[in-house]
Amino acid sequence: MNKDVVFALVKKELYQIIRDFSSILIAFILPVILLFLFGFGINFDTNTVKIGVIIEDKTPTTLEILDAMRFSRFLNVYMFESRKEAAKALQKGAIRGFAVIPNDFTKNLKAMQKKSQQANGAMNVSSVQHIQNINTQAVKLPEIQVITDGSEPNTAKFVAAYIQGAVQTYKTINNENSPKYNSKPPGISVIQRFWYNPALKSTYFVLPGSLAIIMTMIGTVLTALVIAREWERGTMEALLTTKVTKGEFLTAKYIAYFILAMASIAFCLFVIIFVFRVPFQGSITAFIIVSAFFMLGALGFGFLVSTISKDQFIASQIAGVVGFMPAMMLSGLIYEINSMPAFLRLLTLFIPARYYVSSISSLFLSGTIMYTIVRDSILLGLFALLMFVLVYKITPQRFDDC
Amino acid sequence: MGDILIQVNNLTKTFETKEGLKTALKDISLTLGMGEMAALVGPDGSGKTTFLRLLAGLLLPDSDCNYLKNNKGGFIKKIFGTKEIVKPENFCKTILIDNFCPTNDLEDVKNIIGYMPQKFGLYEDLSVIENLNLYSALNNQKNNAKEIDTLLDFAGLIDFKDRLAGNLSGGMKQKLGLCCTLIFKPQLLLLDEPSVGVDPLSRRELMKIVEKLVKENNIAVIWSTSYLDEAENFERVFFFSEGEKLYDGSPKSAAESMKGLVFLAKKEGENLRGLLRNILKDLQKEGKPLVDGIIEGDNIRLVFQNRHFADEFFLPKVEANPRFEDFVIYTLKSRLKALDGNFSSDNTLFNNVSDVRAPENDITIRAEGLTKVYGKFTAADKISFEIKKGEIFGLLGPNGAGKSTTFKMLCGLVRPTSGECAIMGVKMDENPVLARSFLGYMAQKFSLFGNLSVLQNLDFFAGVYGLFGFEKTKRIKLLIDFFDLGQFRDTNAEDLPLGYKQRLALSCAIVHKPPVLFLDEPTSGVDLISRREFWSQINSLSENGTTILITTHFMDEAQYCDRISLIFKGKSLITAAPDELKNSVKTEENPDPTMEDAFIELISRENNKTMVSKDE
Repeated sequence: MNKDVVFALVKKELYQIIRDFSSILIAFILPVILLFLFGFGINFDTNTVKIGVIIEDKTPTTLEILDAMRFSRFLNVYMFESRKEAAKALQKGAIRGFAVIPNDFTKNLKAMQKKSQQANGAMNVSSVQHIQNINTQAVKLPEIQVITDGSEPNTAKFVAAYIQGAVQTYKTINNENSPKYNSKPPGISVIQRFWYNPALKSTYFVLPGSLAIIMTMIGTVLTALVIAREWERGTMEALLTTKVTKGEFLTAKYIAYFILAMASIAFCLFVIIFVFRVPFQGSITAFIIVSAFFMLGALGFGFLVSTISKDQFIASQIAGVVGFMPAMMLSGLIYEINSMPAFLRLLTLFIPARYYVSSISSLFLSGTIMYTIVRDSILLGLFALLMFVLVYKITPQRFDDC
Repeated sequence: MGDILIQVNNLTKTFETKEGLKTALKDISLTLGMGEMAALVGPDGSGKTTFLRLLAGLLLPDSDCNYLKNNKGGFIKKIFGTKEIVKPENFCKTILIDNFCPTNDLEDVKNIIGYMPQKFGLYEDLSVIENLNLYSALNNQKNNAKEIDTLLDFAGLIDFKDRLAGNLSGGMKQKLGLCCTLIFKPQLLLLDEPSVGVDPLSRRELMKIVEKLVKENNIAVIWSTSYLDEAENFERVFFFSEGEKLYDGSPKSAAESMKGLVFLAKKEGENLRGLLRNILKDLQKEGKPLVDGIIEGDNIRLVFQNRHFADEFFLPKVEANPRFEDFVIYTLKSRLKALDGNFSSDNTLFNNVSDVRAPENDITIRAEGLTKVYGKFTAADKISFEIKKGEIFGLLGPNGAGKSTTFKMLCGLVRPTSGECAIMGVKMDENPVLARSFLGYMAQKFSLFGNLSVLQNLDFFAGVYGLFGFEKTKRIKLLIDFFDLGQFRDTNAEDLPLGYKQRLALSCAIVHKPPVLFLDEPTSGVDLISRREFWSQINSLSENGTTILITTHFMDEAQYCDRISLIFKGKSLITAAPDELKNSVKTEENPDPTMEDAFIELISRENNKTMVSKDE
């Protein structure tokens, strides 16, 4: 391999990159647009939901419950006179669900409180048999009906959970404030804490993960065009008659686009950390190493597509679809890999983005886990090597090969 | 002539296509000496590019390769297949360049050959100097800046060092491409159609540069071209047709062999086109068909099969200087005769398309100050002309001169920045639909539906132009008969031979009997005989009153027009009859200037004019 030749070719590629606005667009503008789409578009949290409330039983108790709902930072409460009206609003999409506090709520509540006081009292003296008796004395439970929009299951779950939460708040407050209701002894309380993403913000997971998918696409699309372009513009023919070897030609392409792609990754990292304010816990060195291996594979895949198709349009189509879709679906970013059917789980093993997603999200959220980084780097490196070998093998030395 | 540099023995090259095996080159043998300059001439698809690629080692000859047998298996086999090549008996004996074989000694061959592909192989987003430095490095050269400057100076590009290659004119690109191949001082230059899309002046300059190289450095050159008149400037010519070498030798002696068979005839007061058609018809009836009959300015140029026929010819005639083209057409027709016993196999030569909507107005096309400006670039600058009914009017000029822009404005496809045009008195900007309905348009590259059959294409275009029912069937039948397309009725357009594709495109353009016909480079790449047939069809259309506007970059074809307009850098330099134009540049040194001479002279006058005005 002749250093001067490689150097001259790299220089040529870099000139072409700088002067061709489209590669700058692909490397720096497109990823940012995609990051914004992912950052704002794919959001598994629901912030405030609009719900309707119908109070058929207007008593101080029910109004307190209403206050508790209004107090919740997740709920935005609208009052309705009847179920019919609320149903209409739900259909129109004005509210995401509604709660009905029925006519007999206060009555039932009072009855139940009484019962449980009795039961508590009885507990001290009597046997289990007795309690059963009390329970069978057909006391209707104080119920709140919650109706949600099942066509959006995720939101529906949130609505139900938030309303439940609000009612829970009401109960707790009342238990603390008014000892007269303090019927139950304090039970087991669960204190939740979400490690690595304490605020449980899905963007903290989605953005780093989407970096992997974006970079799969960017890396592939960037290079998918470049060899096809040489064929289309007739420069490949000229190159083949010079003394350039396949090795030199490919090395130079790899170097030039590696530089561009790493710059693109760095730029995205900057946007994620400083614009989206996602904390970065791990080491930058580890990030660079994993990214480098990943990028070499993605670039190699693009070169492969480009060499096979020899047509810029077809190459970019293939790169877009083949590079993007599997990474999106099977990398574990959107769909949990563990909940996939077995054969799809097997398939994910061959999606490089999967390893990159795992490394990057751990680097962002939990710090540098040596095991993950090393394992993923090795696997990504193997993929990159495979791609290089394939590209090298099918890059022709002539127009037809024997 | 010196020592032998290239030796080719029984070279055959076969390609695998979807339809089966296709032989691109058949049994070619030739030699070329060191420092010899040869033209490789032939129409598109004659095997020129394949031949040059074989010499450069980009393709392998059949005799060196069991490619066809081994290639089944495709992609997977390419990667995992074993590279076990059974060497055929005569391995590496077919092509020898300085005793190296491109198949085995590719590295050595690369040291000898400088190859300039079509489109010149330049990186358009690199500057002139960057391209040169790149190619210098790619050929493992350590050229210093001074050497490169010398080369640039030699090619006249020194002032454009930092301009992007994409922003150069065709002629400058061509020179830069040449410089890039010259950078390592090759012994053999292979130039693949270097003159396509380049104005004649630049073409001539390039030729001078190459001739100088040959003289000073003893470089051998093969220059491929589809222009026969260009080939005439070479000492040695290889003429290829359909993969076979039909002639190898000096074009002058080839032309010489036609002496006594070529005449100019004229009959006062008679329409040349009608006269030509009658001559062709009569002679065919008598069983003494002509080899060639064309219109050249004010005369008819006739090539006879033998002296005897010529002597018996009824019109007064003067003997003319034979050309290489006469020889080529003679050779091609003789081959046709040997194949099917018929000298002029095609009766379309003297058929007549009856039934054309003859226009009533006298002026059918009028352009007045047509100007199109794209940003800072003026593509067409105040182009004006008037074309009469039945006239054949040619727009002549190199690629990028503004021919197509002018054309598109006349068709209403591009809105002029200023100026106006009218077809049959209907202004394009006032009633484009009506104006366009008078037009038949045959676009560059024919624009047919490749996967529809001949009949389906005709049916579609007839439908588009509003023909239906019995009228449509009748018209289509007439066109199929006239253009002799019957045998290909159900063949898909993309599988037609180029000449027939051209016929089909023309028949689609005239399916609605337009009084005005626009033809945009209808003959590029088409072989000589098809071009002749095409022109006889055009002549017959014009005789029936169809006005024809045609663009071409074949200089000789310009002479078949009644009047031509020379377009250069967006300007119309002159509008005149071909003979007037030639006479205007007549000098004592050049008493019989060709069309190309006239063109070059007019361009250099224009260049001088602009230089003077810049100096002021």
